[in-house]
Amino acid sequence: MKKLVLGIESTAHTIGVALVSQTGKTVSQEKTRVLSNELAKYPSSKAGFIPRKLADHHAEHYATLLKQALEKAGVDAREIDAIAFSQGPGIGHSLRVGYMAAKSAAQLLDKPLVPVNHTIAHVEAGKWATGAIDPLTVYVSGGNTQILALEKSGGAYRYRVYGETLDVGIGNFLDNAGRLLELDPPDAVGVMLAAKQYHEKELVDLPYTVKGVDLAFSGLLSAIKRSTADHNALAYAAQENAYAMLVEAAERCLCHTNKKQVMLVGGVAQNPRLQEMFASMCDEHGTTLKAVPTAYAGDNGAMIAVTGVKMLASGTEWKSTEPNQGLRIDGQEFKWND
Amino acid sequence: MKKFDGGAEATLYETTFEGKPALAKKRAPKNYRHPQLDERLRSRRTRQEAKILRAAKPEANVPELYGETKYELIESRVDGVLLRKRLEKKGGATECCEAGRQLGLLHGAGIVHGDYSTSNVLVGRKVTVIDFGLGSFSNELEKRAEDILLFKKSLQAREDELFPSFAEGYATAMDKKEAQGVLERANVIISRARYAQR
Repeated sequence: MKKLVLGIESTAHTIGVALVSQTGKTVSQEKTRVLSNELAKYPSSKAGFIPRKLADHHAEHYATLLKQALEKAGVDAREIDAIAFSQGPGIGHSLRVGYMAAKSAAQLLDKPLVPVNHTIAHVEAGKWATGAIDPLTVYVSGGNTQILALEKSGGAYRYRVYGETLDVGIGNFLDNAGRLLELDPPDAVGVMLAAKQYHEKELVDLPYTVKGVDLAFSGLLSAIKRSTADHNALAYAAQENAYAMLVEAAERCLCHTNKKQVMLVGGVAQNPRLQEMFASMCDEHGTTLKAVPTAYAGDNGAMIAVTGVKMLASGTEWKSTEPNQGLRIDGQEFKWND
Repeated sequence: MKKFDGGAEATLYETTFEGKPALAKKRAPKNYRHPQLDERLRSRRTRQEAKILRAAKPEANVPELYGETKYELIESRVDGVLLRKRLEKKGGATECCEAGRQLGLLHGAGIVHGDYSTSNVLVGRKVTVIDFGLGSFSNELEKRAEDILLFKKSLQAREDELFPSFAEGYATAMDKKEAQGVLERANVIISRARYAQR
């Protein structure tokens, strides 16, 4: 039987609406198809996010995105079988917008509401898009930096966080570095562009903080603040150090878990230098690297819908549909083992 | 030289030192890192590990250091299986308890390990601690607690079952109150992590 699922994402800077169709019981490239995946992003500024403005932005764009998503998919709203939305983790104000949108759609259409863990959605959509099987997942975005793998505990499956940042996410660190160095744009993209401008390849000595499988970026940021070195040189060193720290932590997790594949997901997964470093590490260990394609790297509605489909198809249960800012990946149990 | 074992950071080769079986621990270059960063990390860590092995030897079960060069250590060969492998089978509480005690002895000697996981504890005739590349000399509560946490996480699915034995062993090696303080700080670090259950 064919099912149509609406996915709504609103945890941080992106409001996303997508329609996904599913045939059969298992999620795969052939059986699970993204019909449309529309999104609008709150622009980066020197001030960072202002939660209230973020919520306004999402509320303003939602209706248009929904209309576009339905048109592109060529379906009528009445054909929707379930509504999946991002339950958390994320920024409270923006989570509420997605929740309200999803809840009203569910009530209006009299269809089930499926609460999706945003972190798990990055992993599941990554597996769906890349065909990875039971990988060690490195989830890198603005607010998140985690090294994850599925593990069996008791009769159920759950994700275990092997390593993670002890302070800020790697994307946040790069955004902050971009702002401190007054780059254009003042964020991670600015850091990437400035690093490219630096041709000397002489590396400024900055802190390198790996605590076993965990990472910390605050020492690196303070050192950049204090340094008098050239801004392009600092941007270059910030990237080189931060990415090397991440690869080292992942390498240690890989040796500890013995996984055969490494998957990169999240907004930062797209960075070519990061991918190059991961490819080199994976090569050394005879491991395959899978990097999520651009369309599903940053936050988007399709990843929420795909995960919603998987939860419904596997009969996964949930306790609450309330949004949860601090929702973690390791608390939830699943019925799938891939 | 015959390869003995390969970890994330270094490769071990079988060798001998003055007729005794020994291991050569080589930190090979990592192509993913910038060459300058790579050089810095490998030489710093090799030097640091040598210093720590010398200081730790009289206090806890660690390999004996025979010699060092810029990127290579020669150390005594300790036979045994990794605690991680041992825990793939049932049981293991006694070994975890001893792993806790060994960590307590190191902390008492002013040494923190920096990567105290079940992949860095060898179970043979004795329980031996290896791999001090991320170690440092410190009595800081925070750094001690990080060692505890790394071990806890590395127990994976058997965390609830085996961590109490580890904590018990840890507390036998030092002052009860001091040990309690470290274990409490470990909980504070967990609650500080992003999106922790508070």
